[in-house]
Amino acid sequence: MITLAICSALFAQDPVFAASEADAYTLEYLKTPDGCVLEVGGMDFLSDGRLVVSTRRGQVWIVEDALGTDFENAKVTLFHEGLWEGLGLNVKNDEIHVIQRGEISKLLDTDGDGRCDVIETVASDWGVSGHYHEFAFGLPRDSEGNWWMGLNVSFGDPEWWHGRSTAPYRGWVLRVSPDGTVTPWASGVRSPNGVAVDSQDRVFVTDNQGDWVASSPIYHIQKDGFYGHPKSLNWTEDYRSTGKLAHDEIPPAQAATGRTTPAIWIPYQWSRSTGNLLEDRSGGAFGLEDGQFVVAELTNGMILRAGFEEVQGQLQGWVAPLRQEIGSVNRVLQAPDGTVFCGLTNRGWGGRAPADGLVRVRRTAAEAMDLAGMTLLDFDEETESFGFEIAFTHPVHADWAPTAERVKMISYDYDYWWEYGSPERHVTELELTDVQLSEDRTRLTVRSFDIFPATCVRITMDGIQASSGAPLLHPEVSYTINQLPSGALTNAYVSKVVPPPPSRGETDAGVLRLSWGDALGQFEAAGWELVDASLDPEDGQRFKTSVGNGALVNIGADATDLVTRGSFGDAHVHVEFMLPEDSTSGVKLGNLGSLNLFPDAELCGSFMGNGVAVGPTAKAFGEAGAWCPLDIYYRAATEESPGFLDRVELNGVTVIEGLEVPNAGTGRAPIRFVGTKGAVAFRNIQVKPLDRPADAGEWEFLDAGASWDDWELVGDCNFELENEELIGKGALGWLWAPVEDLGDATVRARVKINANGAGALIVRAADGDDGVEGYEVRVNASFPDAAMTGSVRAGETSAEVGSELIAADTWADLEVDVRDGEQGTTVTVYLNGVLVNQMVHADGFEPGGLALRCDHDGTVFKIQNIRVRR
Amino acid sequence: MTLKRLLLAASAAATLVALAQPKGAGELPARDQAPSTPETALTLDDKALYMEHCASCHGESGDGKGNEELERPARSFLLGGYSYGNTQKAVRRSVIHGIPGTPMPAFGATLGTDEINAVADYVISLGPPGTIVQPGESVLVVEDRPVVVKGMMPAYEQGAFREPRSLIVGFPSGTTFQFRAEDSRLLTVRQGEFLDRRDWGGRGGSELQPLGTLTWKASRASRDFTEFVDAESGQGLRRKVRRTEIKGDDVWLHFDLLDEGGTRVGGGQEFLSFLMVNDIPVPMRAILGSGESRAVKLRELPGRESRANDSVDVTTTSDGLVACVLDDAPNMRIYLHAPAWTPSLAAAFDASLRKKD
Repeated sequence: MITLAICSALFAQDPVFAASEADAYTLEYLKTPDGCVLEVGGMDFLSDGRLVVSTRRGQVWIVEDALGTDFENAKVTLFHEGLWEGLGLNVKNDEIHVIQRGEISKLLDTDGDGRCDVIETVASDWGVSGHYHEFAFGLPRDSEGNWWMGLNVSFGDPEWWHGRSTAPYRGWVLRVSPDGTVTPWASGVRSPNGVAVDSQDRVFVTDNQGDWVASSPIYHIQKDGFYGHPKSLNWTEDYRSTGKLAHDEIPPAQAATGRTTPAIWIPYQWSRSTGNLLEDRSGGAFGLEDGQFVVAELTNGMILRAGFEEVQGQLQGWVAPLRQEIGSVNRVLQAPDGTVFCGLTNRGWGGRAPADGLVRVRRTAAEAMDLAGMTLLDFDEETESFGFEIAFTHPVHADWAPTAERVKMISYDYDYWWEYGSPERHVTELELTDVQLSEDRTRLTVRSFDIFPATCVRITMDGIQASSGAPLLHPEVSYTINQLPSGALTNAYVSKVVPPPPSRGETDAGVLRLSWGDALGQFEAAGWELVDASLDPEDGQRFKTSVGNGALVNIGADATDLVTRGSFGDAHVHVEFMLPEDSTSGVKLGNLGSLNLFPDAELCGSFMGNGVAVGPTAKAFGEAGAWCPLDIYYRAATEESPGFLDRVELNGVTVIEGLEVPNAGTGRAPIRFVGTKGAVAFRNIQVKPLDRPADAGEWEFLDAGASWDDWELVGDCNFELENEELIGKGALGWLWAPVEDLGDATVRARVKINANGAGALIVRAADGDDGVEGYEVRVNASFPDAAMTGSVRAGETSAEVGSELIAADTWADLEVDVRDGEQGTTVTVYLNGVLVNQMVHADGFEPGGLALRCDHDGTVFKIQNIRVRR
Repeated sequence: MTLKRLLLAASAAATLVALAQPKGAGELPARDQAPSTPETALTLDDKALYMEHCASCHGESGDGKGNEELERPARSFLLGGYSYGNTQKAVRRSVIHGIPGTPMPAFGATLGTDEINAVADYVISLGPPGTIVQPGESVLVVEDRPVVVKGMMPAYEQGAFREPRSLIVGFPSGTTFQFRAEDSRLLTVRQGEFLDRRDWGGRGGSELQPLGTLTWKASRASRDFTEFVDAESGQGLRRKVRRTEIKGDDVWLHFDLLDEGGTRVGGGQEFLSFLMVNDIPVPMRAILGSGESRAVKLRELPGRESRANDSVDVTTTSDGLVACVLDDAPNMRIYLHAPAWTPSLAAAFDASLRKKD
């Protein structure tokens, strides 16, 4: 097609026009050698034309002859590996600099063997807490040799979609001087994947939609600008000097008038994950006017074009698609001849295929009927309206007349809030006061009474063709109006402060994950093993097992029941089971009775106990050898009430509902997972207690809000008080509560820890050699340390809980009971009302205080409702 | 028949609750109903789950064009692209919790774990193929020359911290040194395979997985030991790694010596190599510092000291290292990763000194 187009162009008088983007821009994909996966994070040229590519895998590759005739087969060699990502690369004077998560590095090959042997750390003065989302992006240089980079916020507690800035300058754009001095330049960015410096030394940064970021914007970076994501403010002088921390859901004081507005908002329909951008200075070789920009877009797999103009001192402009169907474009780089290289990657982020690689995009010889530019027009006295002029590359066909039916303009704005992104708000189709073509038919003027600042507009033009009949390749364009060309300046934003929506609840709260982590730690059992199991293809009555942690199976000799150590009253039991042919199994629900499990749909899910026997009301069992989820909701009998089997779901199908068990014994009891006959496999055993022990005795509530001045901080952590919730953040340190002389006592609190964080509640606390000591009850969901939530440490003695009972970022009710006796001091730990750990400490600590501990950097430990009963 | 089998199974089950008052055959309690019709039978059909729970918004084909009228378009799964990741774990999270600020509801309370997994897998399968890292592909291997890696290392023991800014040096001999880049402290030595860069499997940013066996680790005290001090004030100086250099079989770490305020007062090098003792390689690290704006000196090393001979001071550290300071190089400390200053070690050390001459 393209060859044909070029040939025709040579032989025909009239220029040949592109019928599609593909006719106007060719794509060539580099074939990479085995072992080379180009997940591109940065690109630049050496002076001899070789292309240097850094990848998210921390490798740097060199592509020989990237502008040669046979790009597909260009030679690729490995220059370096071992970087902690490489999401930006710059070459200046043949010096290669790359940005890793923790530093800007210069890579040198001093012995000339084609491999990097010296790495110089140019700059590293910013924080890395270790959260996966803390990407570091870059790395263009300005005319003075400064590097420009952007630092992602992390995510975390309390809701995973909330950005965090737990280490310095997360959520900032930084300038790094040639001597390595790091200057925090602008704040309020979220995921600044694209950083660019243009020929006028203007710095542009793209961001990705998320909390506080309505859609994907392009910022024009100003010194001390604040672009809207509040968490970065933690590192401003104002916040640091007062100890203030940005709130998750309440907009900061700067929100109303202190934000620096993005120059362009890219509509969500075009960009969902924006990469970097480049200023086209190829003199039209790529089909763009000099000074327009090419923007990388990952998810939709394309490149966009953008143009900026300054209006009353404010940069703003237009954006439209340019070449689609390329692949997940993360980086764009232009060669002097106009060729644009697209570096692809989307691992873990998703996006259009291909997901990795390098693409060479070139403008063909065919003419293209396309957008040439767009500008905001000043107020027109005649029509009494502002408007836009859209320029085309060629005159519009004589048959096309501009009418309000063919040209549509909508306006919209966004919400500025903590929720993820914003829909387009106040979407309005604007009534046009004027729509006309210039005399030479290359410029379209569109005017409306309703063009206002602090909005975006999108204009759609239907049916435009060149005089050759070629279609306008991009009939839709968007413009961000921060300011109008005349009149009073507005201090409103496109993205407007609105009341935030309510928080959402949790689904995991209250659950004890009995088989997570140390799978057998919360059970009394013999003959059960943690293995991977599947139906033996040669003998359907057996399992084939292999080393793994997929299932608890009763394959040992003389296997007993699998009995929970804790006792339960009312509970929701979730378990998945697998049965071979002819095995029988069951779950004994305390004193209520047994739920029977058979590899037979007519029987599976029947219940027997205390004189009651019922079959399942539906055939829900799948087949032998398949995992089958089982959910049981039951209530234990009490003195006042009989027991109930409220609901049983097998494979998501209700098989028993509302069954009363009149003669069931009362009280709490363990749950038994039973292998009656043959083998059975269980996995993902979770119990959510639905009751709580009675609150006997007199509780003393610690109202931190009232007594905050009496709480004392020691060590390197920080605790803050927010909405009656204590929030501790590592590194190692303690917060003393104003409580003294705890002897025989019970302490309760709601606690929550982030992934990989760790903390503790310390009862009978006292100053020791290694900080605060005492009965240290661990709160640790997933930090790789044997002592998970519920473990107790007491000096040299410890009683560890290896099971990961409580998920990260999930509230749990923790109760610690400390009591002196003849054998020493007994420490009993309850989680969500269930006894999970007990330790007898022979040398019993003296009565002491109460303290909270943060273990290490990156910890976010939350505590509510602390109370003490003596 | 059905009941008989039920009872048979029950009687075989010593651990099942005995029927207190077994009813007669065919006489189930009143609540019992006839076994249900086949319509309720359900296997985990991922597509059916998708059609039931997702298609009304995301479209039957996953193109984002469902029948529901939404204030913003539902995500098209055909294009891929997930703001919080396209791994099963990430998609699961969106299914469980919903996506705030969008019409995407939470299914955590309505769907079971297997159903959520099935839906997540199905949704991912609708999108374009992504880059899939096969197990083993992310293993970094040291071949014929040392390799220098930056990244985050997991805590190496209870009470130690995860180290986001680690510098790991692997040698062809299978020895791996793990340093903190910010102060050049050696934290562990391992022997065996090198590293697994597991974060390739997801969105990146997770810990490196050391593959070797731990042969040495820094004690709590030595983790915070500063090798050099300001000669006048006695203030500890931080050694921040500024440059790494692979030179033949050896690796040099060049560091800045920084005072408490982060001002550079000098610099130095750490030289990583091996001392051959009876053909067994003993890791050897020589650390040399020098002051520029201020005079610096080695900090005294706690441990058992013994004067080896006329020209070498030898200290056995509490970490189980042998540290040597030569009389004519008072600003250089040489650590030998050996438990004691044995005659054969002394001889090899002496020979290597002479070799340098």
